[in-house]
Amino acid sequence: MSLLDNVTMVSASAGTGKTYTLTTKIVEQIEAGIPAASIMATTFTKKAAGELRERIAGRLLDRASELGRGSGTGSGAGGGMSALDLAAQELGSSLIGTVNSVCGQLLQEYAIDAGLSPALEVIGEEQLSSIFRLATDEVLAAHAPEILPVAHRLGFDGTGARDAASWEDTVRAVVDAARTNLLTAADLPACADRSWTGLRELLDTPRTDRRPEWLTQLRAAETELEQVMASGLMPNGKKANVTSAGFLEQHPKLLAKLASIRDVGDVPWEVWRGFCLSSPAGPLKPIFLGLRQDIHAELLANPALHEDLEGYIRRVFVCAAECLEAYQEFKDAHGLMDFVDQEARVLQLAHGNEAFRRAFAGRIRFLVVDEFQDTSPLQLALFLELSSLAEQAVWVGDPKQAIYGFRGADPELMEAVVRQVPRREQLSYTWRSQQHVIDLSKTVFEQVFAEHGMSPESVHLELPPGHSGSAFGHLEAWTRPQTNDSERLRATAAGVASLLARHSNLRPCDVAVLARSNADVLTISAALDGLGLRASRSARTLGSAREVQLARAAMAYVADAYDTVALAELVAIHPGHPDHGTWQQELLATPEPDAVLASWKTAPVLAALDALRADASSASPTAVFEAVVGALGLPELIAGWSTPETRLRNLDALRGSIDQYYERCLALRSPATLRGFLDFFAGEEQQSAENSGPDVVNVLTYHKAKGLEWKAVVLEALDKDLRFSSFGPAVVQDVALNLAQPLAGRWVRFWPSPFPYGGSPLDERAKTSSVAQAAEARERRNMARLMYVGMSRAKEITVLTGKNSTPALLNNLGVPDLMSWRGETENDPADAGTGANGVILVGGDIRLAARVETLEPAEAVPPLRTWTPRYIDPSQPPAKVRKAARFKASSLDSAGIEAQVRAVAELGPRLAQHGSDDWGAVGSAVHAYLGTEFRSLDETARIRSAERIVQRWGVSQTVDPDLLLTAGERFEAYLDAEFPGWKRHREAAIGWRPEGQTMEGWIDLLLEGPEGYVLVDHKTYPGSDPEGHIRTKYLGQMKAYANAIEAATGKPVQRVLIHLPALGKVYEVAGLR
Amino acid sequence: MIIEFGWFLDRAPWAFAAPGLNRVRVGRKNLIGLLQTRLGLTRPDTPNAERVSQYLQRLQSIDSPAAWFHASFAVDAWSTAQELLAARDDAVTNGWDGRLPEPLPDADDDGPSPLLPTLAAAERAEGGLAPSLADDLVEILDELQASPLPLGIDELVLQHPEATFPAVWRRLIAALRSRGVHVSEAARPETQPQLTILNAETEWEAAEHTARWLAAANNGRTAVVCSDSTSVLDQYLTALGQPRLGAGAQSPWQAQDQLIPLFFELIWAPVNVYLLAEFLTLPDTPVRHKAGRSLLRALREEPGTGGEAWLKAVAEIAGDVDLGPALAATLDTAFNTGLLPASGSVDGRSLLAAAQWFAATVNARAAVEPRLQATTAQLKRVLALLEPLPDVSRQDLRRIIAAVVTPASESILPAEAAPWLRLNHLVELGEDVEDALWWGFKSATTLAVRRWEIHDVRTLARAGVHLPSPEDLTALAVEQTVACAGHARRLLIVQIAQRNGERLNGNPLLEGLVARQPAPTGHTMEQRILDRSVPAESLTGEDGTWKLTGRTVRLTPAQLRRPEAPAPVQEVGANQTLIPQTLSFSQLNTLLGCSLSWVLQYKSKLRIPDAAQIPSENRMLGSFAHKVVEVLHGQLYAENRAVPSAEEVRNAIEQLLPHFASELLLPGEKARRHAVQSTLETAVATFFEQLQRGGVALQGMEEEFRKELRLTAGGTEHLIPVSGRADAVGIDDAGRRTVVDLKWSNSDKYRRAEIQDGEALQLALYQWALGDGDSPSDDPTAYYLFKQRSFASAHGHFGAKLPRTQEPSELWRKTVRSAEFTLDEVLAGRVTAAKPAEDALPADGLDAPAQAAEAGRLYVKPNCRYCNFGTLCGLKGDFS
Ligand code: SF4
Repeated sequence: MSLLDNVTMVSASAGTGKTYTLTTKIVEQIEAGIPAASIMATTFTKKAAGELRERIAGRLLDRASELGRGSGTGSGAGGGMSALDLAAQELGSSLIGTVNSVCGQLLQEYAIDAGLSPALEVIGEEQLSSIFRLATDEVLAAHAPEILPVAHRLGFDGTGARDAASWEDTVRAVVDAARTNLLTAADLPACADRSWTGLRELLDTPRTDRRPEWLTQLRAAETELEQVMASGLMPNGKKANVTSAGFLEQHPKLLAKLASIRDVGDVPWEVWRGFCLSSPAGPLKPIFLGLRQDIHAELLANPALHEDLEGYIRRVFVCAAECLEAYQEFKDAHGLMDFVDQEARVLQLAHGNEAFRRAFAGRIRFLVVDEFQDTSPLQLALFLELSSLAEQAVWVGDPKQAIYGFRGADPELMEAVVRQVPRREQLSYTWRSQQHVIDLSKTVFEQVFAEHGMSPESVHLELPPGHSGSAFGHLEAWTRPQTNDSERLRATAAGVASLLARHSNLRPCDVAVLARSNADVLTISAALDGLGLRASRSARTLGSAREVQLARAAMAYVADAYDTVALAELVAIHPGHPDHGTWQQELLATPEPDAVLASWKTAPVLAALDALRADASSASPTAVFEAVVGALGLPELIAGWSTPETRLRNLDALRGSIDQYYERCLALRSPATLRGFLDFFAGEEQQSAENSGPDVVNVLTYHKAKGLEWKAVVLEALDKDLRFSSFGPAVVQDVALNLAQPLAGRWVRFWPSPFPYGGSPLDERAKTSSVAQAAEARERRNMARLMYVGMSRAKEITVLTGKNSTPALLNNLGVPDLMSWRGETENDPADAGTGANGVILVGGDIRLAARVETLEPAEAVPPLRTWTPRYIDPSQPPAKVRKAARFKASSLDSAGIEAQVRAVAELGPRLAQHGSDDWGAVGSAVHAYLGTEFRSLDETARIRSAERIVQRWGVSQTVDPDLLLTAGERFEAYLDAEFPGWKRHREAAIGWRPEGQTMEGWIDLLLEGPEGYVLVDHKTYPGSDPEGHIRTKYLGQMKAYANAIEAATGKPVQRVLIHLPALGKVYEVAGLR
Repeated sequence: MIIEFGWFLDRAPWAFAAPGLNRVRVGRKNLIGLLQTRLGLTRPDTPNAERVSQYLQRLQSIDSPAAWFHASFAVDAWSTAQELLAARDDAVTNGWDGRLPEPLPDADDDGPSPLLPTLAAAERAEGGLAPSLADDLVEILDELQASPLPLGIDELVLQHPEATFPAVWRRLIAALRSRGVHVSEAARPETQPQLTILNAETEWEAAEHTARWLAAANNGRTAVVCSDSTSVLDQYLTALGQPRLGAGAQSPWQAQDQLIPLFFELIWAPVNVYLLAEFLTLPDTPVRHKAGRSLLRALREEPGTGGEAWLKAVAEIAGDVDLGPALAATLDTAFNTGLLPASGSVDGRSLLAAAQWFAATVNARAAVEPRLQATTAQLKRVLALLEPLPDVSRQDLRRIIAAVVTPASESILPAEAAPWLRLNHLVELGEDVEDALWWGFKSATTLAVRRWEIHDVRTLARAGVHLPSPEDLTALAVEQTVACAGHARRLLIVQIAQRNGERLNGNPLLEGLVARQPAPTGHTMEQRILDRSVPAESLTGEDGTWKLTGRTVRLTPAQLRRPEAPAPVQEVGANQTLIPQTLSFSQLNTLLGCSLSWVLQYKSKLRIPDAAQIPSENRMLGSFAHKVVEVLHGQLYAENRAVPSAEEVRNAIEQLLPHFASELLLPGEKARRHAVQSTLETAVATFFEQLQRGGVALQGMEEEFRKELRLTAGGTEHLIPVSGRADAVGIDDAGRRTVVDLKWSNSDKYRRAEIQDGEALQLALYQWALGDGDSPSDDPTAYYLFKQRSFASAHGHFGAKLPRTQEPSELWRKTVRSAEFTLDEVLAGRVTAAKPAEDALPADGLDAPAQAAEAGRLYVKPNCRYCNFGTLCGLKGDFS
């Protein structure tokens, strides 16, 4: 049997109802009798998992009621649940979730099989770096002395270019790449060999190291320059031009570089390459340019450069190999695990652990993988393994939408695997988009993906039969000729405004603008804001939102009353503080700031915070946060502020950031405190919550748009260049796929480049290498998929944008002259009403009618200064002080209760002379014995019972079982005499609800007579002032019991007795009031 | 006595409308407790941590390299023991006696997983194991047979059918029946409530509507189910004059529960100053407030213990009449001299010794502060568990603490007496009510059950142990919830979409409840849920009438509040007291950069706490490097030498590190420490070497100066003392005074630019202050940039000489003009937030630097990045 025989691959093009298909398949399985617990399904996000679960449940219940096997409609409960009903409920505990949550759950359950700590803590995304650093510290420290000098020359020690990866970063990147591709420490030396072999081919044959000569010449040039500067004359006697802007800019930089040269062996290669620009200004040119050119010519033959590059590559890999192991050991020792471990460990179990294989095969029968196209190589191996254990597996995805290459997914590998799946289904009917929108993406991408070797069928899309409808949708193409990037984005924003103005049925929330980078998202959002259109992405950081500032200041103030900055902030921001509008006047003018600050604290809102400080000692940071929100009256303020929904979500996000802080504390195993959180938050740059609502335009990246749809979608960034590089770590696979070992033959290539700004002979060579060509081809395919995702999001209107009418990126996807647009004076009458005034040309000959226009940025409109506040509750009188919801009779106070306490019976001699440390336990033992119907036991049994109780309560050192027996006998005798024939309820339960309070308790002994009750309590008091003791301790309790009994039974409590077994006395409490 | 018994009733109230005598509702735990009382089987509870420790001993005795649990046990013995004990308890609860059946002879039986044999072996192993609830049930079953003690139970009412109880509980029911207890089944309501689902986006929105709904009626026949924390809801209830519900979330992060873990993080060398600051600022910190403040001040100066600042603080505490030398010594030992070695493990007794003062202080505090009694008890337990251990690693210690200090349920404010019936889950509803409200619905769960391997289930079944299946218990939970829902006429479920910024998953119970609601035929579940749902934002009509399930409230519009950005220039009236009493370089720089920032800091004395200002990163490294140079210079100067040996440099660095950068000694910082050390070694060496090469003889570090600056402002002349210390002062070949200021920053760009522009005010100020004239001399000055190991100077003494466009005298003139201008403004009561003021300048006019240049004043950029007043001046304000 082939490995993939039980697998079905469902290829679902965009908008073809993938989730519906997926849900159907699962529901069918459950209907066929597979228990819900035997389904495993992985999705890409938590949200998708939740939705999938809800949909399956819904469909199961629908099926149940269709089949008349449901839980009835309106009929009463009971009668048992149908299998489908039950399955719907069971889904909550089945393995449906993200790959990581599912793996996490499996590992939790099979931790001991896997040899792991069962108290595994998963390292959250945010904590990964700090944990990695902690774990690999020793290794890095050990390698640092060797690697640092080389790293310095190559610019990787933090003193090089601003965004150059440090050597530690590179080690980490190699480790990450190794882990997600299942490479072990032992595999890395070979990677080093292959990396160096490849890189060496770009260099010249090494000759002699001429750096000392270079330096000599450089110093000579420097001297020459000094002379020129001093004399103002060039060596040829001409006046030196030392005032040009270029010279003034370049001269100090050159001096700084020269000043940094000390030891010739220490000079960064970048300095040799770029001590001066390729076009030096003024006197620099004759002095330095020649030398620069000489050095460039000799650079790649310099043996020291060879040595540095090779040494660096090898050291990075050696260090990475050790880090790989150290990281693993650290996590094992600390019970930590990251996302990659979760997958790798489960794979390990599935591959080689018999107990797990047996358990998994016995448990999971139907395995579904959603968004298969975005699986990482490791996940791919995992799914192959798990699928082979399950009875059946379904992989659902769309290779055309694989856009997570940058996170380590490998679309090529995935496609290679998919090609081998024998059973395949292709979904091509789209329910999402209207005809013209479909036409565009179809005509474009059938051509583009043909270049990837995909058949037209796998790209083809059409409306389902009978769904053509009357609306066709339409296309637009916007040219924004501005040269400045942000101007161009502003023009797009203007286009969005006019689009909305043109289509009255289009609300802002129906429109999405897709961009490539977060920075562009922010720029577009700001531009829309300027036009009075709110964008989903708020430009604000969470910390700068007003409600968050208030809450933070309040927390800081609760944490420390001496935090006067927080105090001032509260006054400055809180409109309810009496000094809100005048604080600057008061504070800046006073010679006595302390008095002013003190007076601010007397305002009610600050007094409320001061009061919270006392409670904060038993509260978590979250609880303090929630309490300050209330104390500040934030919700009411927010109701009168702009965008109240966003602000409430900001509060929620701030609470989320406290959770993140906890997560970090957990990972680092450190405690969490309010102070700690405040420090954490100060160092956080978290985004504000998204805006939402019908009046909000969606602005987001292409990557985030995956799986979403809107009526109108504007595609930005259609002009970007392909960005790829031969340098840096990359994963390479150069053998054909072997399903049994899907990751075999993968290795990490790492070429370092000491020249971060390009312009070196090395960069020239690299450009023509096969590595660069492969990287370019890969990037081109990535972009094709990303564009496909973008172009398949719209339901009715797709808008293309370009710097001119032939957007560069779309025409760089592998099909030359793929697309352009132009306005036409002659309009096709068929397009009347769509606003079309031109065409989009695809592949030269396909014409799609479109509205074509050229846009300019629009003038900003003044921001909205008024809005309709929300409705709130009419204000209430201050809350009254209320009693606690629950109380225990035994903890009630006796003060203020009047009663007569007197001894009413002498049962015999004292049984204990004094108390002891464990007297509490003695009391419990006595209670335990008196709480049973010991009289129904024969004597031996009684003794045994008393002995057992004394022993169980661990008080045999203190008291003799006899104490219990004697106390019991003589008290029963007393009762026989005093209350003959009364019913004895031992440990009687009593509940009571006076004025909304609840009391539930057990009365030691309740005697029931014809007219009422007698209440008895045993108190094992060993002291000498029983009366005083009773009076101060028990009156409250007895009174509550008495009232409760009367309330419950309507009969009176006739007497209240306190039995003191240790003293051998009975007291009566009378006249309780 | 009449007992209602149900699987989910352990936390259920006994009664609502008519509480009575001898009628209780119990779940498993409480039924066992009750029977134990009747049978004389009560005993004290053994805390789980102790049982784990006992079970751990047992596992140790059966551990071997071949043992199935060996690997886990080796990495984390404690958690492995905890996990296996939980499995053991679950099996025992279901009646397991610790023995496994003989394997079946036929080939079909591939036997249990390795878990069961392990548990069986542990059951036979030496060593005690205190019984738990799990053992109690079995004991009771036996005792019910053996003991003739009457139970005093008249009737056992089963909340759900007998057959739905797991096997062992059916045995118990049967045993009770045979002891004469009448067993019956509770009547099940025949109807379903009218269901409404309220959907809100956030918990705050949900709370607003829920509180309003509660406040809109008297609730005498309302049940309120709280399946999640109500702290947010309680805020709204209080605002509406309603009683609080007081349901708290389980949280391991309550301040008082951090005391023990924090303390035990601090006993190891080197001390983590950030955690120490947290410890000192914890509300219940055992360190006296005043003493804590001294120590925090020291940490802000020098982020390490044991240095000058620390010792000064210790001396201060010793000299304080309220505190005294004994306390000072204790604190110094605790956080400085008495720290335990960081690596390796220590024995339990050393830990006890280290914790002694802490335990004593907490104990004493607990006597007056009842809240701390729980902490004292936990601490005792931790110490008791530690005492016998021969070696404890930091990891073990953390695990033991985590096992003892378990998450507690928190609520800042407790529940208040209320007319409604408060429940934790709808399955607890036992009598008829009009309305039921379900708060926290999405979080509602009934206790999860352990999932057993199918092979183990089979094996145990052959031993007569029948484990309840998760399916059965899920079905039971759903059916019970649905049945109990029938007690209400109306059910209002509150759902929120997101919590902590993340989407919440739905609770499948929703589908279960909706499925039982009447619906038009053909409606899908999705539609049916929608039919019952109301979005929170739809509840309020145009006119402010709010309606939800028959309850109505008239609302009023909130007050529209439009915040205004503060004016960049504050006019507070002429005020002579705003004249600076003294100036230092940084004061002057602040004043010239932003007068608002200067007034707030130096006149209004606005401060953030020391604990929030412990230096790290460049600030820490700067003062560290500085001190190294200072110490080395002291040594060299005494011996009349100019350049330290590499070894001297290394020693100085090593000696000062714990005081000035103790952070670098923490685990995970070694690589960074090496990098810093090596940078510093070369940087310091380069510094001395270059001075020597440049012919500069270093004479003093931290040279104090004080000189009066003559300024005319507000129409009068002022003499303002300027004081401070110049970093490094020396003399060159020509006998001129040289001044070098030492910096640690990531980039040298700004300092170089300052020199080139002739705007190095700090250097000019030093030359002015150390010289005699009214204007600074052009004697050699430089910045030394540690991280870049280079000087930036316009003088040739320090390597390459940067071209300079302005002389110091000119700079000084501009500075004085600028200071006079700013003081004029300030004294006239015009205090300016520089950045907002600059931002408000018209785009087509002169910008601030240009204005200053035009008026011949020095322009100093406001230092907004490191300013604490950005929110106050409006720069970081939100005025939308
Ligand atoms: S943030 Fe800037 S403008 Fe605001 S007070 Fe501070 S220094 Fe002045």
